Amino acid sequence: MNDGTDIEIAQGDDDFIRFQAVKKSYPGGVDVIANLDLSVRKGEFMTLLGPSGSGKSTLLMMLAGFEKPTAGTIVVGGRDFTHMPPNKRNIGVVFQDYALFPHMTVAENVGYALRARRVPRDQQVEKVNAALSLVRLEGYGHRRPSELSGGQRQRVALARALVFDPDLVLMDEPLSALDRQLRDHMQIELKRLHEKLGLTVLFVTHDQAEALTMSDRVVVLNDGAIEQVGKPEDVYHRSGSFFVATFIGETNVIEATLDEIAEGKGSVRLPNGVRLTCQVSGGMVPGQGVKLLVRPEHVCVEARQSSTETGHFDTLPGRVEERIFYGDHLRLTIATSGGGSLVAKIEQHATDQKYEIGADVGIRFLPDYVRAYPLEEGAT
Amino acid sequence: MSFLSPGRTVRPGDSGLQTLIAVGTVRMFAKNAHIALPLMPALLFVVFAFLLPILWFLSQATNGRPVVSVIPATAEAIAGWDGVGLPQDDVFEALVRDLTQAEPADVASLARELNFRQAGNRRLILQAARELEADLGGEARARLEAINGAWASPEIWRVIRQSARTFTTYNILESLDLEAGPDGGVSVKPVDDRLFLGVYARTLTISLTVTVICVLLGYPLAYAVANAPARTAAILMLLVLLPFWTSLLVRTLAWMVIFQRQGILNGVLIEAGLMSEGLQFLRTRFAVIVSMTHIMLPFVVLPLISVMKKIPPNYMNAAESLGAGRIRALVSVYLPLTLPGLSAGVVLVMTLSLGFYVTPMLLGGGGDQMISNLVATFVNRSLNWGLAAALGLWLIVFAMAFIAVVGGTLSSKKWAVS
Repeated sequence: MNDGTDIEIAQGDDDFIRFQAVKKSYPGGVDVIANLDLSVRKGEFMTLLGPSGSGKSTLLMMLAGFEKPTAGTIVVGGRDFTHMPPNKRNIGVVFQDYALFPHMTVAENVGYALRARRVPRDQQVEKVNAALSLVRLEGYGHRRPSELSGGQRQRVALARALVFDPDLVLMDEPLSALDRQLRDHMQIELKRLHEKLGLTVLFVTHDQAEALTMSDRVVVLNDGAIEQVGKPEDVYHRSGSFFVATFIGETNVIEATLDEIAEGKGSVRLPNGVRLTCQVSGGMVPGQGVKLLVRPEHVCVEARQSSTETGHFDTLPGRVEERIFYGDHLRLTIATSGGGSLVAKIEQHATDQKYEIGADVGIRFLPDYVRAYPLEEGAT
Repeated sequence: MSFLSPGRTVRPGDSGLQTLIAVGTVRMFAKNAHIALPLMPALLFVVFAFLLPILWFLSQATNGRPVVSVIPATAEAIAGWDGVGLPQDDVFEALVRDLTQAEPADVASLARELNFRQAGNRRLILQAARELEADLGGEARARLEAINGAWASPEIWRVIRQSARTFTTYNILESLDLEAGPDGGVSVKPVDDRLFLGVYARTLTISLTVTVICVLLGYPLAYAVANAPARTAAILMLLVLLPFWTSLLVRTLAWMVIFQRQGILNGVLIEAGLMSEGLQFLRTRFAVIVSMTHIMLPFVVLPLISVMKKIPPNYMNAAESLGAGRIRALVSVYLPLTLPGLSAGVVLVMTLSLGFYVTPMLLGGGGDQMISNLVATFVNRSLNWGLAAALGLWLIVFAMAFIAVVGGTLSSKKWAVS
């Protein structure tokens, strides 16, 4: 019934892939994906980011056809994919463990999709060689996967997924098995291929740094639902929820009470009486408890003469407890007078303050970078 | 010599080299004592309870001493005869001397051994020994020919020449229906005289049939067990293993009960209205193959399950995402990855089937007896250990050849699914 022809949806490049009210639940279990809507643009590098169990891999497996949604539809390029068998979808998949066929050579692995599509023999050879040179593995065709390094296997898996000019490439944590240096290298390599070939890529990862560096847009998933979809900058600087803010990057959390809201800015009071200005989201009312989130690089530290000196009303007094020197920056853990502690990341030059352990400091925040979230949301 | 090679030369056989090897062996043993010592009891048991008896038994195939020890002079003399016409006088004289000097019990054993080669030889030898004792003189050739005209024809002498060797190939050839001509050339016996080739062919046919059926039944079964949910897999596994916990004899007897003329199978067929009277299942090839397949099935299923369980589901997903249909993915990816397990199972079923004895004896007819049944007959009934050993030897050779071919082509693949 669902052979794609009866779906009449006007689709532009803006929703090349469309998940509509997709739901996935296993018998006797909870919902892995609950009523999810998502659109992916053509040529976009979209990352699905979330902790394990957030449903990001399930979403990918449903798109590849290895899992069937319990409800909802998946449309790609105007064709209904919901019940289409995986071999008809023309999607390249790179698996976490690469799933290279151990009994075939590299060339046979890469050419598998061409043989399945009955591409003429001479074209097969040509395309396999082109795919191998694309991932910089010319001359490795006769080797077996077992004779390759982790990074080389990764690239063979990539070549195998690209050789048949798929409409879409799915990658399920493809870099997680590589060591850090190789991972950084492959990230650049993947970006290069994405731009060169104009691929539409759906990339699954639990590594937030990877998501930020590689993606055009990031989808943050938690418990089978979308928390936020946006550019890496948006997700990082303007996190849509407490979960997103704490999951992506490092964040200081300070509890406070909202006093008043004026011109989109909130005024909050810390338990020790210090007042701060912050960004507030809609639906907040004066008097409610909030959590303030500040990234370590947005914490400003200034020297104080003694612990008794009172600074400005918006300055939080504290004392350096821990100090780690990273070369380009200094990382301080500062105990505040309120009893909590904050992490600050400050640029470091040879002539700058040293902030030795035990030094008394004052902490200030730039109002634009302090965001308030309702207290109960982060309670769990 | 020594001035040409001033250094110390070590040649094989040199006491120096031997000492070196001996010291090396002792050192190796000492170094690996924590492995070698615990191994000793099992090793000794295998050597004395298994290896040596089998080697001794197999050596009987070429052992001519039972003949040579009774007629040593004849054995020596007849070696010089070229097998054409009749032997020279000295051979006749030697035989007469040997027969008159031998103990009656030894003569009887000689008569039995030579009778294996050709029926009627027992009477010939016993008669000659008896009558030579009574009659005391004259020329040897004339005396023997007078006792029985058979001594004047070359057949009996050829048999003696062939048998009276410490190392005889007679049984080895005989067990393949081959015969050595007077000139020493080997040829296949005339069709009517062939005894064993047909039984070998039957043994191989039955074993191959059982192996093929086991694979056809076992492969999907193993696939189901390996991919079923844990609880279902455990139940299926129990059903697969159940035959292992019952003795082979009991299972074969159970099949007898099922296959009897008034047995369960016929009862069901008649009850279902498919037949009016029972069919003959017992003493048929069908019964032998069904029962052997039932016994052998776990041997192909178990190695397959262990291999299949190690194949990540991602391989099939990958193949399908690359555009292969379910069947193509199974044949081009799944099947090759299970070959090591399949070859292990095939080799097990085939080699074990080659040696089947109880099942064909109890469930099969005269035309379903396998090589092992013949070996048993020769050992138990006619006491022809030499021929029995030769038949066993060929069985071992067949099994080893099969292992070499199947194991060599299928299981030596370089990949391994980790």
